[in-house]
Amino acid sequence: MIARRLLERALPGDVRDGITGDLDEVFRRDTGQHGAGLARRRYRRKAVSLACRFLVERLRDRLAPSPFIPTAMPAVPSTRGTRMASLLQDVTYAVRALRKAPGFSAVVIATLALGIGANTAIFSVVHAVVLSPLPYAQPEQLVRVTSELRAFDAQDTGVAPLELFDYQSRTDLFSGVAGLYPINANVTGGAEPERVEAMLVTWNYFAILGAAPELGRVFGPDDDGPGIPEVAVVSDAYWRRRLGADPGVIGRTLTIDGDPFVLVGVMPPDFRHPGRTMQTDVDLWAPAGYRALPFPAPSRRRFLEGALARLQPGVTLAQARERLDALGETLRREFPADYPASTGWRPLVVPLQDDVVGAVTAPMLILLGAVAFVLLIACANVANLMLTRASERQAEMAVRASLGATAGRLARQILTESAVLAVAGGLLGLMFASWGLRLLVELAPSRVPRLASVGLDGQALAVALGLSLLTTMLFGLAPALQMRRVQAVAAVRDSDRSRSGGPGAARVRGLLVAAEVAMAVVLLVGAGLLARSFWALQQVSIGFDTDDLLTARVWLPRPNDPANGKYLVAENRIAFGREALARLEALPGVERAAISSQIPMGGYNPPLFFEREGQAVDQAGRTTIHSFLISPGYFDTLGVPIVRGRGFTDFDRAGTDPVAIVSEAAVRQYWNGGNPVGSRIRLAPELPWLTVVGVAGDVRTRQLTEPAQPILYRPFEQASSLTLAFLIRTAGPVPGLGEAVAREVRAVDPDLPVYAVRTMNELLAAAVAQREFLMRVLGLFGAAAIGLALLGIYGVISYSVVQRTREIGIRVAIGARPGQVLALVLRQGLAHAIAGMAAGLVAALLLARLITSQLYGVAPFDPVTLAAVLALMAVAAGLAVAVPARRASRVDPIAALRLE
Amino acid sequence: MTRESLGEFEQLVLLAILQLGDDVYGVPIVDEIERRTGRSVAPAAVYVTLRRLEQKGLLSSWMSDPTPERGGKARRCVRVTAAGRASLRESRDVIDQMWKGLDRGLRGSR
Repeated sequence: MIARRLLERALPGDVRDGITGDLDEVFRRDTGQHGAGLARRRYRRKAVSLACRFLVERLRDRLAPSPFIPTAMPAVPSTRGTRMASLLQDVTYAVRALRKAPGFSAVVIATLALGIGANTAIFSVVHAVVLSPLPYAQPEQLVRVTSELRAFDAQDTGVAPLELFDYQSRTDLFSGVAGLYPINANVTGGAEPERVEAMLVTWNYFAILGAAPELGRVFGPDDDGPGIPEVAVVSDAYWRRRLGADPGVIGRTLTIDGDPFVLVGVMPPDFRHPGRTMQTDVDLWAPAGYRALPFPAPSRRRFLEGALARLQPGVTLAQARERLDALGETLRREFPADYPASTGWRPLVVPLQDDVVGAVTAPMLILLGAVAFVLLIACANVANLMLTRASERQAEMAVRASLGATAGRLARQILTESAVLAVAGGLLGLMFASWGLRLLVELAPSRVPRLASVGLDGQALAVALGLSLLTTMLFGLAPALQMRRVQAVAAVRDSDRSRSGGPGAARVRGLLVAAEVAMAVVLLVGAGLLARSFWALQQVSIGFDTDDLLTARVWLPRPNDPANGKYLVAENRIAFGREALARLEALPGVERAAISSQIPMGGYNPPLFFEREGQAVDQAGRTTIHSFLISPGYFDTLGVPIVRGRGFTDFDRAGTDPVAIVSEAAVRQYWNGGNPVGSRIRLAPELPWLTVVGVAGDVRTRQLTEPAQPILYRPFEQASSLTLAFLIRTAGPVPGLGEAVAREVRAVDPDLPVYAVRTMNELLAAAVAQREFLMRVLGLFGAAAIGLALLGIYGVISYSVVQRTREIGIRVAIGARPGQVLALVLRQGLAHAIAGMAAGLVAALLLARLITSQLYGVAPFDPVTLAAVLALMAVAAGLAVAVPARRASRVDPIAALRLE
Repeated sequence: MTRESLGEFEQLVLLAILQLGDDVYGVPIVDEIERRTGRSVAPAAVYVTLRRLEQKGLLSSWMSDPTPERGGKARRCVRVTAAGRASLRESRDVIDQMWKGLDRGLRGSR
């Protein structure tokens, strides 16, 4: 359809409908007679050729008043006009000359298109995701304030409400500071209850971002209150999905976690919360004061996600850091109990941009670097081809020169040819780029931020096109300029030497090929290392069987008014859990089901401090453990072994002795590998002691790349929370199980939505998605690089064989055997490849550390990868050389000598 | 005013239109030339030529009613004008003059 659009642009209005109609008619006819594929190809060819013809025609009409047109424009030819007309002539001639060398032109255009297309696509993604500023007013002023605990090497430990108020009132750094508190919320009252991702923010959140609503209003100072004033703003996506895109929706009441909220605003489609969320994009915002219920009394307990702030105009990031450090120092002195020196607490301020895109920056820049290599290889290849062609045409140029063409005229012609090639490559590259972009967005893990705003980037296209234009011109022109020094007569005589461009050009060609090989080696090593890492990750055992295991979450609501909070009472939570489990286990195909407060690999789960009976409390609070609240069937459902003691039973419930199970990693870390069964631990001095009754096998909970974390399991009936997950083991795939789970949960409580229904394997795939993406794209580039390098080697060697046909003929005539000729050519060809591989190896060793952050289970200098890449390259180069070498060994001396 | 002589392809196009008679537009012209000459013809060349011939006043064109099999677009039908016929005849005369007396000899040398 690109062809169609191009055509509609190119055709003059008077003939447009007639011609496109004709094309449609013939397309229909061809489809009937020859099938859609051929018809489409024919259509495309005709459309492009028509577009070109009519573009030239229009240019001609405009520039040189056609003698055919009686009502001609004034016949005074403007200088610009004639110059343009002569340029047009050059272009026409160049196109004709290039069509006479279709193989050469096709390879050059395809190579350029590949380089330009890949670069434009990748740069467009990197630009939209990483480089482009956030879509808010003065985005450089936006920061996120959080804190770190240096003693535990813990970054991003959040902000306490009192700290939030201090940052606002005790510094003049910020024009506004807004608290961020992401929550789950259940919206009820519609056809089905729905869990939404909500964000509790101070009223100034939208003002700080400079965001205006699409409908209604955002929060203002009147929406401030100590607790949660019951007004809400929703996202455009939510408005469309759940509110039927009703423009009269403002003022409607939404029941959120049981409380009535008045909807005051709808945000525009492109507004997204900048920063981390729990599961999905934020769909609902509500104001919060963090000063009264449902929040605890304002304290220095850091439960807020952080704060979004806007720096005062003129305040730099460095100044902000410095003054916030000073404020931190003051706070530590004023409140030593809240900020024990042993924790190393310190406020942190991060540019919002880094906060949003930080995690993907490294892989994106790796991709950008890799694709730049692809472009360089493409350019080297094109340079080679241009050199070869220029050498071949020296005789032609010499004839023209001796017939009176000036050097300038010859240069202009070569430049025009180069430009035509570059433009054609650019157009095709643009098509490649738009396909590649679609592919990239599809392949990219969904957690990559700002993917929705990815579009073709004009700047990137311009840079790539400029570089290829430069390459084609430089390497097309250099030999032509050399021509002025070459004896024209010698060139006309067409001796072997002048035709091959002399030893200088041959050396440049050899160097270019070696460079291509070197860059291909670097790319292949990168791709190989990533592939090995990915493979190593696939081998990591998560600790249980992940097949046929479905996970789903439920959020038990927490209303602002505790009197409405049915699930704030533990008995109600337990009753709900029991009945839901019984119903789930009765579903057809379900073998076992369990409840857990967390899902392994299912998202962030901050560790808790704990102390062991009889051990001094670690003042620095380094004894931390991940907490899982589980039903007795949890270990059986997942298949996690109990390696010591016992698992939980139905007798471990409210009123019986509080018990706990710890993981093997906890035993290694806190009991020195001894037997913890029978010892007691507690999570806080005010909480009861828990008796350890068993040890469970290790389970990876956060990332496959991390060692297993210490885990504390407690029975759901003794300690339950408002976040709940169901883990459901089936005998095999059960279609529609997700819907069945939601139905059964609603049967217990019609106001509870089930969300985040995923198979365990989907959660695992998401955990490695970023690596998989990087590996695939780099692998693709590696393949393209090796292909281009082979083309380069093949081109140079077969060209040299043709040039040396006479020499080889003489050798054969005086007794050289075919084997010796073969060896001669092989040696020459492999010399370039080996030089390139050596250089590539060195470069790969230097560059490998740049991707260390993306590797797992493999060293940047992995001998296996390096050896494999070199072997692959050597075999490939051997094949590329073997073809022309065999041709050389079959040279017939008599025919060769007759060439002269 | 000097009359521009017709190029070979222009003659082919004009002759194809005359051969086809009524209701002539791009598609049948391309087919007719291909059928009679046995060479493949680039439609782009035909359309450019049609436009040029019309600008020279050798053709006139009008739009027919749109039809569904053409994506709702009308056909651009063409007819050779009197000037076109005169031009063709003149070209034929010029060629005939040049051929006079050569027929037999050339046929022999085939």
